[in-house]
Amino acid sequence: MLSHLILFEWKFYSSKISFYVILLSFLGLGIWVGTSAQISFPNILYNSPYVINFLLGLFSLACLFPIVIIAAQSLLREKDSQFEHILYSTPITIKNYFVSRFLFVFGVAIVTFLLFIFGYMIGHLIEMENSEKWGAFHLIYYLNSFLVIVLPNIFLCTVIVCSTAWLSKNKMLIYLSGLGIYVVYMVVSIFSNSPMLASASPVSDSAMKLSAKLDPFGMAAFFEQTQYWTALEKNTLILVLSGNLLINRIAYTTLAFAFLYATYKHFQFKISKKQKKKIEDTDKSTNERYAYRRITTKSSGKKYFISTVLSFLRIDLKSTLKSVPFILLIAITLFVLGMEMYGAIESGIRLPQYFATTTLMANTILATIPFLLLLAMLFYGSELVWKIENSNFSAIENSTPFSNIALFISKFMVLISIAMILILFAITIGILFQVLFQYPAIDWGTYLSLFYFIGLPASFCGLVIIAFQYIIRNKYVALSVSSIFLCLTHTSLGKIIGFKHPLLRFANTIPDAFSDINGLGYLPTRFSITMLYSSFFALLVSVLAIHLMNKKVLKIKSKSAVVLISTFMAFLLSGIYIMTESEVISPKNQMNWQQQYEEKYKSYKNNPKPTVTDVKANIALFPENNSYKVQGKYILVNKSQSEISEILISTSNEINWSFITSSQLTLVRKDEEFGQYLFKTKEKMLPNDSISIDFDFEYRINPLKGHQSFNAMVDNGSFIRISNYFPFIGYNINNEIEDKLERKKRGMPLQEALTKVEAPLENPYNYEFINFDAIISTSADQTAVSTGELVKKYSKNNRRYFQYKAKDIPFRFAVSSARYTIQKSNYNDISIEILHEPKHNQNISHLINSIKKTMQYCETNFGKYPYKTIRFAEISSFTKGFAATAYPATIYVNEAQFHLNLTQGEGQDIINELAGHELSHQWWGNALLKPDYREGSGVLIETLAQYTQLMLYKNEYGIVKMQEMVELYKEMYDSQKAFSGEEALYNSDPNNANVIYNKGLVKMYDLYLLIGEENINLALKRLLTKHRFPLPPATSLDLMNELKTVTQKENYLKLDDIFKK
Amino acid sequence: MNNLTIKNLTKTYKNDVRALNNISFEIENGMFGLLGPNGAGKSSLMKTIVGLQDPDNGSIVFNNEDIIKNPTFIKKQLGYLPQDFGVYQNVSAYDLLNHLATLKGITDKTIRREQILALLEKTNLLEHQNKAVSTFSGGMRQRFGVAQALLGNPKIIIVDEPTAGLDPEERNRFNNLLSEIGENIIIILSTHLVEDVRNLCTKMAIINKGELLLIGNPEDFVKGIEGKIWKKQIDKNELYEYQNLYKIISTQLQAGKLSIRIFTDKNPLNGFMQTQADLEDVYFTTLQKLQ
Repeated sequence: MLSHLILFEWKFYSSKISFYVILLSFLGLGIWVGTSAQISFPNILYNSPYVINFLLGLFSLACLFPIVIIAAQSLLREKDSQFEHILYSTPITIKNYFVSRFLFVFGVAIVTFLLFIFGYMIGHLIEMENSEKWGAFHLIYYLNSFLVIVLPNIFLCTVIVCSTAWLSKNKMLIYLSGLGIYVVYMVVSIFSNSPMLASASPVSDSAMKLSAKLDPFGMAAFFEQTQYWTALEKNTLILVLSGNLLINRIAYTTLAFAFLYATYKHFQFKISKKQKKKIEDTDKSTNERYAYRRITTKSSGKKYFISTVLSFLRIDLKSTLKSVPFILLIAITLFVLGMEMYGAIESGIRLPQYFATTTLMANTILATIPFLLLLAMLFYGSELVWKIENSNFSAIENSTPFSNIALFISKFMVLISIAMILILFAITIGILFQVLFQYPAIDWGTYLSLFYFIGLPASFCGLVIIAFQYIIRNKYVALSVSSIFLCLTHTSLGKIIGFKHPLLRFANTIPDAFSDINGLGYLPTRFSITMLYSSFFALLVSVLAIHLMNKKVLKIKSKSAVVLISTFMAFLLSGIYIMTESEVISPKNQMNWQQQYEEKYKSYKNNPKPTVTDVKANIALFPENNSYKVQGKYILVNKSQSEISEILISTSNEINWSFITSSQLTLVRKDEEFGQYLFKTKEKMLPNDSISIDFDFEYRINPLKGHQSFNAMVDNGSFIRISNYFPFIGYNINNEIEDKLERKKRGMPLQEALTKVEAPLENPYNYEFINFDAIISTSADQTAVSTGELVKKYSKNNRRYFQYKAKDIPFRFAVSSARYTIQKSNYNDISIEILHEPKHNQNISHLINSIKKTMQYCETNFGKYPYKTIRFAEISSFTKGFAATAYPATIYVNEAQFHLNLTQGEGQDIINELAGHELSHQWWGNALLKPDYREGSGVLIETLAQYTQLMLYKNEYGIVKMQEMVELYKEMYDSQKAFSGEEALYNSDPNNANVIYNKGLVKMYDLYLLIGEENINLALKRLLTKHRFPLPPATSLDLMNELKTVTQKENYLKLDDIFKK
Repeated sequence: MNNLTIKNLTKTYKNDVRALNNISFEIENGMFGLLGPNGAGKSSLMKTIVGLQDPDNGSIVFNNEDIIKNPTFIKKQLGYLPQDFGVYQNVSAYDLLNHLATLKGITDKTIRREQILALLEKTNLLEHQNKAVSTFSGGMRQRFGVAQALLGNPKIIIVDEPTAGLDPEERNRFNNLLSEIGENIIIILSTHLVEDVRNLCTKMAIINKGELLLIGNPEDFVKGIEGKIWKKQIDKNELYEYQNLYKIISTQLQAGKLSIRIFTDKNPLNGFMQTQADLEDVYFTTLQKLQ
């Protein structure tokens, strides 16, 4: 009986083409993912068990597609076809019916996923020949992952969807249960801090353990089990069912069984109760109040057209908004957005609360709602089109003379309305949160703009979804096509697979985030241009769909041919415009460029070259145009021992160069492709000879291209590390390909190794320090901040000018410009200036206090502060990559790190940390102690700053708080060490942030326990005295030696362990 | 005078079922009854006229306009009640009629309202106008269907088995309504209730298996077989015997005995009694191709 029932189901589907389409698409997807989705973790093979687990786990929810589709068709078929009455009166047992249907859905889901894995394996086998990043093929890796992660997930999903189907007997609820599972999955990923989503701060060990147990899809447990694995282990070990993973899998499988059993118990052959009690008829009233007259109709013209559109809209909205799925959608939105907003404000254990600004709320909405809306569009786009058909009302409606264009437009407008209602709802929640968290400064403009930035793309997606439905004319096939389309164009999955080019990201250039200082800056321009392009695509598909709506064959009249062709032309032209303007360089081409550069210019690397000793510049910033102009002058001195007759100058291709000239040089060759200028000296440069060169360049942000993070020339709160864009003398090693495997693949030799920590220093040592003198001008309402002392400021021609000077600083300088409020104070004779966004005034006095305490600590223990001013300047979040960064006399702080509510939340006093760490860089790493770039040099910069920060924190908050901080950094180190490696401090790579910052702080705490604060400070002071500019710089070995002088002999071994283990 | 002319209409479904086979006829104002057993092609014919499906061959001309090429032309002056229909969830009777009235082209709000209320009253749904149609009972829903077919100013009304599911009283009321409005327009009514056709229609057709078997005036048809219908009560076991001897039109049980009617030009004797011919006899003789 059971097999007969299953066989019957099979017969039903085996004749459906759409069924095979689903199966094949999974196989295809597998092959595609296998060949192109190469998720790279450092040192981890593409077909390692770790990557396989990661990817199959990530994709395991794709089984929801077949489950939901089959469940919706299979489980409610009897109800749909009103066959219930008959079926329920046959001798089929509940058990057989129930089990057969469940097994069928479950089986189809397993088969489709196995096809996916099969395709994935094929993909791997195809690709394996091509690169070094592949290990041997082991079937067991795939099987293990399937059995441990995927199978329980499929079972759980099937149980949830099927139970929903049987308990509710409502198709919409089946889709929604699928959607719900997905949403839960997203939420869980966020909370389990999965590497799939970038997160602001690490989770604690206990939180990891908890989410490992709770994550219904086992991914958190997978991450927990593997978090401390080395690369080798990740490449070879398969998941073991033990610990939290075992608990998790057993618990959820048991739970699923229990749920299924409960559904089975509840499930009875009863006619669905959905048919409510019918309305009782009443007797005819005899007196007639209204007389029936025929009414002439007018079913053509504009007025009729509009009234039909509105009528469809009204009727669809009425039935949609009152329906259960819509209420559920609202509930899901409330749930997800509420969690997200709360999370955004709380911001994890590392930081205190953020203020509930409109910016923060709007950013949360931007990060959450577009995705939810996309799902809503997908769902409603398909439902609305087939609603008439499904409700069997089409025969009546279609016998009226409305035009199909009106129908199409009305469906589109329903989707727009749904989108707008959802956005409005999200904004309401945002405002509520602002009021709740007592930051009721509501920026209405920002909120209103969300309708444009979220609503427009969602509408376009909706339009395409509807169009696909009308073109394909099969609900499920069209739904799958739309889903695949949106998956490719809108998800990171699509990006992994290769849909990266802006032209392929249909309606998906929603600005990431508002800045509190700069709003969206230039991003709306980019958004609008790409939206225009997307609109032409959507229009094209729509026009096509409208044509296909009546006729089965496409017959295009000349008038509509004009529409089609002109839309297509507009689509093409806007595409070409975007393509030329955005100039996307594929990673492969970028690396080709790098390789060619290296091959062409490496020979210049060891040639003697002059050193820049003086930089003079006029830097004109134009915030309103997102542009700047620079006129600069270098003085170059031959500090080498040899004669120089040839000088190579590298320039950045980001910038438009007017000229580089010198009266003492002749240009031999200008290489536009690599931005290289080769000069010959008119007279040989002998040692200590000097020449000067002049140059002129400008830059303007191209909205379609975007900006480099350190070149954020924005409307307000610009930050530019402008030294990066100044001419560079000699061969630029930063252009080389760093990835070892990539170099090997290209047959290139290894890069020169980092200088060993023991290597002798040059003698005399060339610090390559400069004297800096720059006049920076900006708009009349802004203040420009740069490096060194402000020596002059004045206004001219409605612009403001600021002259900054600094003597003997590293070749590393920056500018910022914004409409600042300036708060001044002083420490002894040193003036303190805080330049900040007027709204961000909450933490200023606390910052000033912390600065004073830091100054006192550092001056007392390490030596005199080298400048007359300490400047903290806030910059917009258009610059990413640091919380704060220190230059001589000036420290730039990112707004994200500045505007926190220190009184709320469990995080630490970030302002105190920031002042301590960044200000101490004036001693460690800038113009005072500036180590030679080699192994261990990062310790002398970042580890020492971390130490200073830790001591200041202890002095302010006591030992217990300090220990908490150490614990936090230990967790951060542990969680990242699998990727960063576990280098010893003394010869660590200066770019290994996890070691020099996180491990560094933990080890310095050990040192503090070993020899005490006073001894450490004494040693540091001696180190600085012996190695400060212009004396030969220190290495990490020098640091260890100084520390030895203050350590008792019996502790030498322990001291060594701290730095060498 | 409205005119609907159908020529050589043929429609074959994907599964090789020939729904319409070379059908031709012409009708003008008045009620036109379509008779035929289930699956005869009545609904197919109606759907094709309404423009819900395209024929493979043939032409349909309404008031000199080819409506296969231009289905909108007939839709502008059409009232259509399909055999069975569903409705949107959660939408009230009034709202749904309002929607359909708008689609039919009654753009003036007040006029629309008046007509809708009048129709609701005529179909005895006035009291339930604000309730969702999806909650209506079968009869009420059918009456709603009638109301929507009368919206606007239809010149042709096509109703597919409109009285199915109505109780006798409702059926009566509906028939009255139809004849009331059917004087200056074309009404096509499909049914398998021969009696309704006889009461209402001035012209009728019988179709079976997609073929038009007979078309004309019901009275004339009845007259045509007058005197050729005989009836007799027999024992149930004798039926086989009689089937071999006579052209049996119909059989009917009467108090456990079988009453058979036969069609014959001369007196069959053998205890048969001549009886009054009616439209049902026309129907059955036509179907069985006895004439």
